[in-house]
Amino acid sequence: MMTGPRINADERRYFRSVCALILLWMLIAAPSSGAGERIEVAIWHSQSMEKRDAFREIVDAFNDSRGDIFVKEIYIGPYTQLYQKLAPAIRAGRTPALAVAYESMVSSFARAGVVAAFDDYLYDPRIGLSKESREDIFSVFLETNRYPRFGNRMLSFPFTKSILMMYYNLDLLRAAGHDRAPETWDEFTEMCRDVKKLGREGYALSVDPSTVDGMVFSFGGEVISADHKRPLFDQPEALAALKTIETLIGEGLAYRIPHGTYHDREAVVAGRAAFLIRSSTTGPYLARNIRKLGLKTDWDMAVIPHGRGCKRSTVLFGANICMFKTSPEVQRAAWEFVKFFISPEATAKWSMATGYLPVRKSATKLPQMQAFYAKARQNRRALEALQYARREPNVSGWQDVRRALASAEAAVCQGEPAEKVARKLQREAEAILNPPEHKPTDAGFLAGLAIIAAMFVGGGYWLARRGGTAEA
Amino acid sequence: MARRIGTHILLILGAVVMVSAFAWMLSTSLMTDAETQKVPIALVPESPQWGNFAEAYDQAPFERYFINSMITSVAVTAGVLFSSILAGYAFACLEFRGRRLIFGALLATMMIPFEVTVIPNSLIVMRLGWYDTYLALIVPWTASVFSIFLLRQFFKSLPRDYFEAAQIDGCGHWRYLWQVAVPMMWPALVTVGLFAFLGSWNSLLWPLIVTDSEMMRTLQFGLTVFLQEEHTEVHLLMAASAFTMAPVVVLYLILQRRFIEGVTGAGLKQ
Repeated sequence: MMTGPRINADERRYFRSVCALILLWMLIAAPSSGAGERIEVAIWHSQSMEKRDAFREIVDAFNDSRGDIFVKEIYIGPYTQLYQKLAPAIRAGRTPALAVAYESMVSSFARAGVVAAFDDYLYDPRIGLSKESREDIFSVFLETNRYPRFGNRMLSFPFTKSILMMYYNLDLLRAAGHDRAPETWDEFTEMCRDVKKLGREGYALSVDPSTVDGMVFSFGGEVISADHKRPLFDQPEALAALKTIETLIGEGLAYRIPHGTYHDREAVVAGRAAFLIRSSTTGPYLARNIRKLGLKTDWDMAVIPHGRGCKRSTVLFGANICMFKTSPEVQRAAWEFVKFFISPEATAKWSMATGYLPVRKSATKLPQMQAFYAKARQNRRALEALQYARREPNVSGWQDVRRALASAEAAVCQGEPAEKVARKLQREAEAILNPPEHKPTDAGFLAGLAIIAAMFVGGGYWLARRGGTAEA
Repeated sequence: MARRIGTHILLILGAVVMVSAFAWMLSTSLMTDAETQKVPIALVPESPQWGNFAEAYDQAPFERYFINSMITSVAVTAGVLFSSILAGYAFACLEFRGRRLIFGALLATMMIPFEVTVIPNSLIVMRLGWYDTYLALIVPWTASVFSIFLLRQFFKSLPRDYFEAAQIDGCGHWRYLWQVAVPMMWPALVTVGLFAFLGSWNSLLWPLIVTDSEMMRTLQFGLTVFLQEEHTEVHLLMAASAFTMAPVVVLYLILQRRFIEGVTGAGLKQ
């Protein structure tokens, strides 16, 4: 092993100079704080490309109308990224004023105690909405933003709402002897059989937990108990939903498209499959596919089928805006923006630009919306179907239940018996929603930490020693 | 002869597998949106859509993202090289108390996944007031245990005679390090530098967490604009991926010989 003289004065000087340079650079590059006169409201969202342009327009209109508030829209990326960014921001107390989030995400944030409820603003006689305006909001949008496990408080507000719809190729159905959409799942299966006789596919199935939830609703069932504690995938309605998928796949009437792709859209517009089931925002993409492929496909959309003797039902989709506890001034400014965003004119503009549903009933009666619906009949279909929309559970942990649900649907598509899958799904969902409580004592926690640290350092030391011995 | 042919066939197959993903990216970047959704999958565009690159470029301020990625990656690379050279030399050539224990502890940190440390690290950065600055993007990544380990192995492989000869000529550790040792280990430095550059260039989660403004975003973040809730613009995503990775490919092509020497030479005694 080499050993040399101790570090001499020259070397020490070099070292100090380098350290000084690094420190100087850090000081220069450190952020400068600037105080503006307007209250800044940051909103983290996931709208990109043309949807972001539409959102920006509304934000700009708000900023132009208010001299005291400045809304800064910040694109964060898809919802997973948004969640990944919010987690450390919450820990550091650096949350934005507003963020777009799904209900299950909001539940997680609420458990951390960082979410401000909208009730305090919505019902405020001075800055809230009048009774008339509140009743003008589609009630299902408000319901989905109330959180039973948090005192039924309104912890979020509707932002990008859509519903689960069934899309169908009318040309193909006509060729198979049908001129309308199926009403029930039995009719749906029958139509798939008729389409199959033409050598085409019936249903291009995209695995999606919301579709399964929608099917359970359409068979008259629920996916969670009234107290929001017990999943209900062991009930006959959930089994009926999974068995329907089993029949469709088993008889070759449906095929599963690769995960994360949109091959079902291409299949339906090109006439290779008759049906697909997706969010109501899919409509514009189907129209675009038809245009770009130079086709003249006649297609339409309808509420998903229902079980015999059951009421029509579908699932409400989409994210909401969540307000974080910041300061009373910023929260109030944030509410002012939310209020502006759900004004009839703004929500109509947002709906026409993005395909999301308008939040207010009065927005649908505006002349510009009427003209829009006259041109885009499919958008009108989604609006008409809104009355059948049901919310999915918004309890904490439901996001994990959704993953289990997607795996269950995939398992049925791979040929596993529906009964077995339903039992397994029920067990998994129960475990997720009611996790065993772990309350480690401080001493136990510290001892565990010490053992892990000792293992790591010991392992590393052993590695270093072993390396040294080998070389010696 | 037969063995040689077999080896070549295996290598060609390996190369085809590696190149196919790259070729698919380039091919898809020239397709229309509708073509990317075709079943069976289209492999070659019917008519190359060169406009995809311009369209993708217009969807986000990529020029700003490019500058940020370049500044960050170059600074991180310089930082990693500087810190790894010093630490690697110290662990290889200097005797001090607790050397093995400290080195062991450093190696142990390699076993802790990034996901575990991301929240504490981001909290530190935020409390230091570095949020949304280059400091947050650069400083936490200017030390790399893997690079220290790699360079330590190279320093250990240098014959002791060099140091003794330099010592006779009056060199201390500092001068020996920079004037004798470092110039002899270019392949290792290129390897460490490329790994550091690539790691920084490709990182998404960290820049996402510690930046807010468009002015501080990096290239990988720019690629996410094509991922929408109901649709992914695959053709534009691939076009953007192509021009995003171009600088790295060029850098690799320039330095590939040194890089291979560095990787294959790590830990070998001369």
